[in-house]
Amino acid sequence: MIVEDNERNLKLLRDVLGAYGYRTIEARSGEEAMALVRSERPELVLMDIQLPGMDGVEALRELRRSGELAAAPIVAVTAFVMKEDRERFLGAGFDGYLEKPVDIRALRSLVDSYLGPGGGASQS
Amino acid sequence: MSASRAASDGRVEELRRELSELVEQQTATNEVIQAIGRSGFELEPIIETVADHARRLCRADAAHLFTFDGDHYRLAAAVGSSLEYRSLIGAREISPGQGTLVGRVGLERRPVLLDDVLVDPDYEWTEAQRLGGFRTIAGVPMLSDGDVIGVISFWRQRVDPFTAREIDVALAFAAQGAIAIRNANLMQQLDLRSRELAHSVEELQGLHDVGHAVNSSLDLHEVLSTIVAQAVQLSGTEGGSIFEFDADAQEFSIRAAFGTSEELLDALRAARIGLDDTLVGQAASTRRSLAVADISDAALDAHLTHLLRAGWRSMLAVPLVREAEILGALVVRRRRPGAFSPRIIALVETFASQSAAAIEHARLFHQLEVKSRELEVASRHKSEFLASMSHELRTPLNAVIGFSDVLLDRLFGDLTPKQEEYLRDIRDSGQHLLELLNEILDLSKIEAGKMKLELESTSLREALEHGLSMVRERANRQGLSLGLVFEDDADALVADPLRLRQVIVNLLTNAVKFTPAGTVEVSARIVEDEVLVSIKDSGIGIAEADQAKIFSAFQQGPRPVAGTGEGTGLGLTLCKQIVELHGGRLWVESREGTGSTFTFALRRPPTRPAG
Repeated sequence: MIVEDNERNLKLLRDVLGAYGYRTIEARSGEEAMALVRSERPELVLMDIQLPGMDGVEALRELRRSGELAAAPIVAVTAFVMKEDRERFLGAGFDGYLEKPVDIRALRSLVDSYLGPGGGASQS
Repeated sequence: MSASRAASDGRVEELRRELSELVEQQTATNEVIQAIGRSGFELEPIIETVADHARRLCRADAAHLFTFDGDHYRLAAAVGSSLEYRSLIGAREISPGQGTLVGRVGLERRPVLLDDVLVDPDYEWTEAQRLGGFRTIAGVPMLSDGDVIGVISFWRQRVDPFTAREIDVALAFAAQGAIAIRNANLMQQLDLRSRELAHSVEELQGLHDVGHAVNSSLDLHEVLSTIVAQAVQLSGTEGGSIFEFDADAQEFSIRAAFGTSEELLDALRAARIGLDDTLVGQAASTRRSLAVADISDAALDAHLTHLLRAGWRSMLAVPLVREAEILGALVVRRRRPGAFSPRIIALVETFASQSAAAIEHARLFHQLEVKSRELEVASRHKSEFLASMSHELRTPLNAVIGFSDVLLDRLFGDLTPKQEEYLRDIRDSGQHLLELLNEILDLSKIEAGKMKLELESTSLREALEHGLSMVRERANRQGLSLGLVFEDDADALVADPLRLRQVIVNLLTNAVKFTPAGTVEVSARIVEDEVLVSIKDSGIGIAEADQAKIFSAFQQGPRPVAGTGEGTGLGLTLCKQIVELHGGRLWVESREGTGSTFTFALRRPPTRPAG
C-alpha cells in the first residue's frame, strides 16, 4: 500500500513497483489508508509523512492500534531527511526509512527485502 | 724559620683568596636567586645574571650562555662580547659535535678547555674566533637531573689557560644556574596554568555577575528604594523620591520613594512632570543639582505644587545622568525651610550616581533580554524556513530524478541515444540541485553552531581510497592518472568519518573537474603533530587573485573541463568549514596553467605513551 498525497510521486512509486512485478493499492491520506486496510490486507506500507489531515506518524499509530494490519511492515518514505527526523520516525515505530528523492534501486532492494524478489501476487 | 714563615704567609694568602672566592660565589648565587625573585619567573634576567657572574668568577673577558632545546644550542645571554659577535653566534643553531666548543661540551657532558684555540685540530668555527679574537676558551655544561640543559662558555683574548679551580667554581655555579633555570621553567608553567585557571574563574565570575545583575534589574524598584532610603537618612532629610525619565514622552515618572505619604505618591504618579516646565526637569537638563530653600516662596510647578500641598518646605533635586543621557532625578526634602550644605549636596550626588547606574543596568539588561529573545526567534524562523525549504524542494526533485531513473533503467522500453542523453541531463541537473540543497543545509547548520561532529578513530587510508574510487570512473574517461602516496603512520585519525569523506570526495571531484589531462595525486604525510593530506593536480590552476575567493560561497574560480558538470559553488566553503570544525586548516597553492594543490592539516591523535 502506498500512502502519498502528491500525485506525481504516487505515480512514480506505483509505476516502479508495477514494473518490478508488485501489485499496489493507494491511499492519499491517513484516513483513506485506515479505510482501505479494512478491505485489503497489504503486506507492506510505504508511508509519506506530510499528508493532509493526520500525518504519517499519526497514521502509523492508528494503523497499528486498529489491529487490521497484522504485522505488515510500515516504511516511512519522506522528504524530511534531517538526522533528527530520521531518528524521530524510527523512534515512533516505523520499520524502515527511505528518503526522497527516492533512489529507485534502493526502493527495489528495500521492497524485495520485505516481500522477496519479484513480487508476483504480492501487495505493497 | 723564615722559610716556615714564608710558607705560613703563603698558606694564609691562599686561605684568604679561597675565602674571598667563596664569598664571591655565594654573592653570585644570592644574586641569581634574587634575580629569580625580581623577574617574576621570566627567564631572561636570570640567564643574564648567570652569564654575568660566570664571567666574573672565571675572570674571563667574555661569557656566553647557551640553552639546549633538545636538538640545538642557542645563545641566550652574552657578556663582554661585541654586538657583531653576538649577532653572528646568535644566528647559529649549534649542534652537539667536535667543531665548536659548545657542541663539544654538549657531546662530552663535561668541562672542555682549549688553552689555545688556534692550535686545536678539531676546532672549526674560525669565523667566530676571528670576530671575537679569543685564544683561550672553556665551557662547562649546565646539568639538571643528568641532562645537559645548557652550556656556559668563557674566553680570554690572550693565551692564559683557565685553572682547575676556576673551572670547578664555574661548574658549581653552572649547576646552580641550571637549577635556577629549571625552577624558572617550572614556575613559568605554573604561572601559565594559574593564569588559565584564573581566566576560567573570571569567566565564571562574569557569568555570575551577569546573572546577579539580571536579577537586580528585576528588582530595580527594590534597589532604588534602598538607595532613596539611605540618601534620605544619611543626608538628615525626611523624605525623598527617585524619578525615571522617559525620553519619548519627555517626562519623569516616580519609581521609588521614602518617607512619602500614599496621597502624595498618588498625586505625583498622576502629575505630568515635564523636562521643560519643572525644577526637576531643569536640574536634569542642565545636569546641575538644584535646591529650593523654601518651596512656599518658589515658582510652583507640577512637582513642587504637590510637595507644598503635602507639607514639604525645602527640597534638593539631583540629576541622574549617564554620559549624555538623562536617566532621571533624585529628590530629597524637608518639612521645614532651609538651605542644603555643600556636604549634603555632594552626598546626595553620590547616591544619584548609584541610582543612575542601577537604572542604566536595568535598561541594558532589558535590551539584552529583548535582543536575545529576538535572536532566538529569528534563528528559529531560519531553521524552520530551511527545514521546510528542504522538504518542499525534495518533493518535486523526487519526481524529476525518479522518473529519469525509471526511463534510464529501461523499465518502460528502450531509448534512442538522444533520449538517453537528455534524460541524463535531466537527472544530473536534479542531482546537482539536490547536492546544492544538502550543502546549504550543512552550511547553515555550521553557521548556527549546530553541526555536531561524531568523532571516532578512523582510517585516513580508507577514506582516501573511498574518495579515489568515487572519481575513478570520471578520471578514466578523461584519461587522467590517479595516484596515492601514503605514509603508514598517517593512517590513524580522530575525525567524523562521514564528514572526512565528504571533504575528500569534494576536493578530489574538484581536482578531476579542473584537470583536462595529466595527473591527480593524493598524498598523506606527517609534519610535526599534524597529518597533511594534499590533493595535487596538473590542471588549469587558479589565478592568484582568485585563490582567496574560491573559499567563499558561490565564488567559482576557473571554468571546469567540459562535460564534468558544474559545481555548486559551495563545496570548498563547506570543506573549509568542516576541516576547521575539526580544529584543522585547509589551504590552496596554485599556479595558473600548472595546477593546484589543496592541502588540509588535521591534528594527530595523541599516541600512547611508550612503556
